[in-house]
Amino acid sequence: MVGSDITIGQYLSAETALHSADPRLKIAATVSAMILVFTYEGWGLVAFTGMMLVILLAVRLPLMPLLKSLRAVWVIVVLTFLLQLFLTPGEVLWQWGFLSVTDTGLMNGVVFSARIILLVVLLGALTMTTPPLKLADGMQSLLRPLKYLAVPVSRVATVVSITLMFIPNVLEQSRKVIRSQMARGADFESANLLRRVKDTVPVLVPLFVKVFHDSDELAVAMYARSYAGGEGRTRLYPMKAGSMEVLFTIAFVVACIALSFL
Amino acid sequence: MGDADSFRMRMEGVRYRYPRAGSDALSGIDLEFEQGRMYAVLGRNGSGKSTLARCLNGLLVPTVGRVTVGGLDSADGASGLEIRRNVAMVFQNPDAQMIASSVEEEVAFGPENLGLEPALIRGRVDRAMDLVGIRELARRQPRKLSQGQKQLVAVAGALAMEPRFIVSDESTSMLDHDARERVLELFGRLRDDGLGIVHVTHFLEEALLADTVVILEDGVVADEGAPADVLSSPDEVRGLGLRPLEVTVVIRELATLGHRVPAGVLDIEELLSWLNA
Repeated sequence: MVGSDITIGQYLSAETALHSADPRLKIAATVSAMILVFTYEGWGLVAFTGMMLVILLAVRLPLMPLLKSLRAVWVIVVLTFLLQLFLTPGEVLWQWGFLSVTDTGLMNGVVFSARIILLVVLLGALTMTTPPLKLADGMQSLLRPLKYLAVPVSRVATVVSITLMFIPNVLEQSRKVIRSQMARGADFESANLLRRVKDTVPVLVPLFVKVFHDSDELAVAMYARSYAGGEGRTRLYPMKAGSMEVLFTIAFVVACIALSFL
Repeated sequence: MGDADSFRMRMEGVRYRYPRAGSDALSGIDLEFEQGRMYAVLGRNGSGKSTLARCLNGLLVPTVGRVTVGGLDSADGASGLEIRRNVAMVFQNPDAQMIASSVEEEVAFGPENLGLEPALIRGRVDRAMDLVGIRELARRQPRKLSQGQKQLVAVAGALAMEPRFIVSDESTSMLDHDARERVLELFGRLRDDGLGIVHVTHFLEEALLADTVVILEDGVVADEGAPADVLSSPDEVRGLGLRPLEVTVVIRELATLGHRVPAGVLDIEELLSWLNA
């Protein structure tokens, strides 16, 4: 069924060190790593993958939901790999007609695909361990300097967090609409791709209508509870970064920078 | 109606028309709601019930006329926050109201928006959860609760604002029988504790708990009064597009057979007692 295994962007309630960590530090570490991943080649990528695996195992974060989140991007990963594999010039390793695989193409295919996978894992680890509201709090705090450039920081942070919060909602709604369309004869499992695409179109209209309706209801409910853009909001649990958390984050970012020289 | 100093919400000549709508959703409403009393607002779909509820909370500002809450005019933008603090709302769909990842943070959302200190928020959250009886759910994820539990969380979230009124916009319509009973019992208890309750519903049985019933028809007040006065005639109730209480239909049939049931009987138990006597 569409989307049933897509976990990207979803919070997973658990009691791990990553869950209790300060959201600002998690966002800072994740964004730093996501940028630096683009500088890694060969051994840098291998070392970073190993480091991430050690961290995730050490904090006992369930890996299966993280791996499931990769299902959302497998088409992009495979396409990236194939395009790099066949379209990069270099020393030819294998040739069949006009298709040729080069050593540089193979290397680039692996590196670029691995980068995408690591980006998804990093983002997944952040959203799995940080509830949307906490994510908004962290973003709002980190982006505060942008206020001086007239950027509506708190609104941007709220939009991002609610978007993430709505992912499971959209998936659930799409499942419901698909089920009701299938009950009326729509075919989403046919081998005929054209027919499947054609039958998907009627899903989109009711899905969008429902999602817009739900988001409007949420906005009204938030406004009714005195939400006014997030400015001046206090917290039941104010954000507080422990010294160990800060040290670990610094060590992680330093390690990420060091790996880019490998 | 009560002492002159009690907190009130007033609707004076209120008309409201939605943008691009061809007619008014509310057409000249004059009503007064007093703290410490429970009001049931009835009416068929499209009669203007939800629009009325939203006008009371300041979510909608009347096109004509005015709504005042404790003397504050909802048209005055500066009063908006104070009005929403005093008039909390509980909506129909509990799923559409949940924003936090734990029940206690959900309940805390309103007080957090008021900019209160964490210790004060903690106090309000604990009091609200105790009042509603959901303390044991504090750490649970709201989205994983039953519909009834979610609606109780929504009521706790409203109570944490420490309002004078709770406006319930069909908050029981998506609940099963037991959950409805729990929410209504809670509303009754809150009324007894001095809160004003405005409960919008299309279930006439729920209106029996109210001190005053208001029936809307095409955006105007078609009837208003005590439940015994407003709901006892099944024909009038049906004429307003509502399904009459079964007990009132039985009483009318008994009357045609020559039995004169005392006025004001709206409850089946009461009728059975009278019949047994």
